Amino acid sequence: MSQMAFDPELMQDFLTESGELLDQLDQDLVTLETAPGDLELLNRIFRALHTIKGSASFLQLTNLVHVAHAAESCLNAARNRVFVVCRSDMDLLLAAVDTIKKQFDDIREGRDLTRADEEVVAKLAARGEGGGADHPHESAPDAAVATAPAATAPAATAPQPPAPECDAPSPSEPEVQVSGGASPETLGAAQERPLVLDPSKADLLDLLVVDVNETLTKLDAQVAQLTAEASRPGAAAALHELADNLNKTAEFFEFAPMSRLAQGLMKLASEARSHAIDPAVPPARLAMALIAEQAAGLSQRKLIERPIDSFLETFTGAMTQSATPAQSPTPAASPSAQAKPSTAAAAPSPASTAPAASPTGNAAGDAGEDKSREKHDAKAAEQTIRVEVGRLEALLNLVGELVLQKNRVNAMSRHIQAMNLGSQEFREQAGEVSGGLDRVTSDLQLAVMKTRMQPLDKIFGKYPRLIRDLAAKLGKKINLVIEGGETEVDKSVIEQLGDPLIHLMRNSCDHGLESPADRAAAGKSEVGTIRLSASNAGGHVEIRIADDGRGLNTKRISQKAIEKGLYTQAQIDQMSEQELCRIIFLPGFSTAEKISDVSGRGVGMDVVRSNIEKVKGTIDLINDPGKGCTVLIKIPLTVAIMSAMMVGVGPETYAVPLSSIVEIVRPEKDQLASINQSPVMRLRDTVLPLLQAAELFSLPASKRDDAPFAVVLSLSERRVGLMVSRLIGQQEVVIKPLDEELSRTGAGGPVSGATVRDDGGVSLIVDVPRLFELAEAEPRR
Amino acid sequence: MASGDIKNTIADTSEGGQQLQLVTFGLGEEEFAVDILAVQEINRMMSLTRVPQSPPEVEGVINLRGKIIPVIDLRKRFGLTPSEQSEQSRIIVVEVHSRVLGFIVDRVSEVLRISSKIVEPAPTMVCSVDSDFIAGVGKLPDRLLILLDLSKLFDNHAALSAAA
Repeated sequence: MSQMAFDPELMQDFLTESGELLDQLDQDLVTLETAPGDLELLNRIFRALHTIKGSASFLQLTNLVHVAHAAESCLNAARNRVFVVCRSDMDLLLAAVDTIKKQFDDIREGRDLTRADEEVVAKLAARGEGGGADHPHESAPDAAVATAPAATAPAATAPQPPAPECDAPSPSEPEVQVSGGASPETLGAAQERPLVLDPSKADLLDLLVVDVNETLTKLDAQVAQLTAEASRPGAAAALHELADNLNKTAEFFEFAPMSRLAQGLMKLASEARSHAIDPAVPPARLAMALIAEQAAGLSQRKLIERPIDSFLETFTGAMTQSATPAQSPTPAASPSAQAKPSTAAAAPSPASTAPAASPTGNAAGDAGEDKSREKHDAKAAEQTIRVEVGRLEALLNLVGELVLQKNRVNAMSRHIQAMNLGSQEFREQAGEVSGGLDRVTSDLQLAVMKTRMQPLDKIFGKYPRLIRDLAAKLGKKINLVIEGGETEVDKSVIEQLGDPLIHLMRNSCDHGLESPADRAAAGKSEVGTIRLSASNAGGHVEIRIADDGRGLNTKRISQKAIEKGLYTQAQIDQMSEQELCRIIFLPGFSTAEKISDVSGRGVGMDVVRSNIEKVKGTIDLINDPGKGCTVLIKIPLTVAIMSAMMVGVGPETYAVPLSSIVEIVRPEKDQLASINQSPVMRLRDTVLPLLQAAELFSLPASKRDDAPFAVVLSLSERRVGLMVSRLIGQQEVVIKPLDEELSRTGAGGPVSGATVRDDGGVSLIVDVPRLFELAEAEPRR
Repeated sequence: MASGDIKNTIADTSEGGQQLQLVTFGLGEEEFAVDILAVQEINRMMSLTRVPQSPPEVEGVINLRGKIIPVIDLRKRFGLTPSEQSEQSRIIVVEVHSRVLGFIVDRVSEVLRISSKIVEPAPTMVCSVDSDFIAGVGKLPDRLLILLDLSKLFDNHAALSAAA
C-alpha cells in the first residue's frame, strides 16, 4: 500500500477529522433508520461520507474510497427520493461504515487496508442505481476506482433515461455542454499553462476530472430547477452543496480559478435559497461552462485560465442586487445580461483585477439577510483550533499550582489582618490584592477547566448503534432514549466513562429487558425502553441508565453470592435489599446462566464500579423488581480540583471530599451506642456506624485526642460517621497523585491522593469508597 | 538551598581513572556517598505528612514545589536505630528509575571528586548495611567511603512492598 508514503502528520489529521465524522455518521445512520424521510439528516450523512471519501482519495486510500463511494451512491439515490431507506439498506450502509472503521484501524496500525466485502459494495452500488432515474451513472466512477485510478473513461453502465427536468449529457463526455448558450470564449482568450502537480496528486487527477464532470451534470440539473418556485429551495441547497464539494476538491489540487468559480456558485446558491433569481441562471451556467473547460484541460494536463475576475464581480453583483426582495427584473437583468454571451465579451475589463473582487471578499461584505447554516458552520470552524491534550494538561497543572499559591497568599493576608500588621493602608491593600487574586484565579481555573470539557454526546453518540446491533442479536425490541447529551464533563472523565457505560447498557439489554414474548406476558409493551440521561447537579454530573425490564432478582443474587462463597446465609439475612443489589459490584460475581458475548463474564460490574470510582464518582442501583432497574452514576465535573472539608485528626489534617459529606454533627452522649461492639450513632431516625478517624489512619496512640465531631459521609445510599477532632474549613484543593509505589504498597490506607495546604504542608485526601469498604469489612468478617 | 555549607573537595591525589563526583553524607558513625548526578537537591528538614499504613521506613510525604514525594528514613531502611532529627538532618532528593523520592540522613558532608581507581568492590561485610546496596568502597587516605547503589536501594521498592 502506498499509504505510508504520505506524511504521517497528514494521515493523523485525516484519522482525527474523518474519525469524528465517522462517529457522527454511525449515530446519524441509526437515527435515519427511525426517520427515513428526514432529508436534512440524509444530506448530512451524505456530506460526511463525501468528505471522508474526498480526503481518502487524496491520500490514495483506494480501498476506502471504494467502499465510501458505493455507500455514497446508495445514499445519493435515497436523497433523490429514488427509494426510501429500509432496514436492509441500513444494514448495508452500516456494514460499509464498519468496513471504513476497520480500515481506519488498519491505517493506525500501519497495515494494508482491509478490502471491502465486494458483495456489500455491489449491493450498495446496485441500490445507488436502483430505479436511478436521476443518477444512473453513479456507479460508474466506482468501477474506475476499483480497478485503477487511471481508467478515466467512466463506463456508463446503465442506459440513461433522460430526466425530465435535466438535459444532462453523458458523464463520459469530457466537456459538459451547458444549456443557455453561454460560452467561455465570450470572456476573453484562454491562457493555457502546462500543469505542474505533485506526483502524489497527479495520480488522482483523472479521478478528479471524472468527479468534476459528474458534479457538473448534477449542478446543471439543479440549476434547471432553480427557475421553478416549488423546487427552488431544495435545488438551491443541493447546488450549494455540490459547489461546496467542488470547491473543496479544487482546493485540494490548488486549482485556484476553479475553486473561485465554485465559490461563486456557492454564493449564488445561498442567495437563491431565499430569493427568486431567474437572471442568475445564465451566469451560473457560464461558470459551469468555465469549470467544464478547466476540467477538460486538466484531463490533458493543462491549466486553462481565462480572465474571470470581472465576470465573478458581476456575478456576485447580480446576486447582491437580486437579493433585495421584490426586485423587478429590470435592474437585476442588466448585470446578469453582462454575463450573457452578447455582453460578456465586454466584461474582461482590466479595471477589476484587484483582489477585493474575489467572491469571498464580497461575501464577507455582503450583509444580506441570508444567515445560512453553512456560513455559520464555516465561521465556527474558523474559530476552532485543535490543541494537543498534553498542552491543556500542562495548563491545568499550572493553574493548580496557582490555586495553591493563591491559597497561601490569602492565608498570609488573613494573618496580616489578624495580627494587625503594618499600617491600616497596607492591611487594606493586602486584603484587596488577595481578594483580587482570588477572583482572577477562580475565573482562570474555570476557564481552563472549560477548555477540557466535552459533551457527553461524544460517548453517548455511539450507543444507538450499539443498542441497535444488540437488539438484533438478542431478538429484543429496544427503544433507546438519550437525554442531556450536551452535558459537559472533563475529558479525562469522559475517557474513563466510555467503557463502564457500554457495559451497563449491555447489561440492561441482556439481563434487564425481557424478550418481547415475556414482556407481553407481563403486560408490558413489547418494546423495552432504555433511558440514558445526564444532567448537572451542583458540582456533579448525574448519569442515569434506566430500563423498564424485570429488575434485579435479589433472591438469585443472594443464592449466587452464597454459592460463590462471598457471603454466608447469616450475613445475607442481615442485609437490606439495597445491600443485596450491591453484591453485583463485587469482583467475580455474575449470575448470567450462560456466558454470552454480550455480557456475563463476571468481571463487568466490578470493573464498572472501579472505573467510576477512579474518577471519584459513585455508582448506585435503584431496583424496582418487575418494573425495571436504574443505575445512577454521579461523577465530578473535573478530577483535578475539588471542594473539600479540611478536618483535623490529632495533629494531622485530612481533606474529605465535600461531595461525600452529607452533614457534620456533634453527637450528644445519648446518641452514641454500640451494636455488636461496633460503635454507632443515632441520627434522627437512622443508626449510623461510626469510624474513628484516628484508628483508621493508624495514628499513634500518644497523638490521639478527643474526636467530638461526626462527619456523616455517604456513598450511594450508605452512610457512616467519621469521628474527627477538629473542623478546619472548606477549601478548594488540587488533587495530587501520591507516589505510585506508595499508593500501591499503602493500598490498605484509605487515602486517594494528597493536596498542598495553604501553609505549604501536605494533607492527604480521604478515599471515601475505600473507607466504606473498610467500614463494611470489619463488622462482617 | 541548604547546600551552601557543603564543601567541595578534591580528596583524591592519585592520577588517572574516571573521575567520580559524589555527594557524601553521614549516617551514625559511617560515611556514605551517592553519585551527584542522581541528586536533585538537598533540603533542610521540613514537616512531613505521615501516610497511614505505609511501609515503616516511609516517614511521610513532602511538598516539593507542588509535587508530592515520599521521604524515606535511611536509618530505618538500613535497620539502624532511628535517631532524633537534629539541625544537621537533611533530606536528599534523588531520582531513581524516574521516580523522585527523598531520604533523610543525619548530615551532609561535602561534594567530593575521587578517581574510580580508588574504588574497590564491596567486601562482604563492611558495615551495618546490606552489601547488596553497596556499589563499592572508596578508599580515601584517612577514611572509607561507602558508595551506595541507589537503584538497588530503591529498586521498585521491593523491600518496601515486602515490609507492607
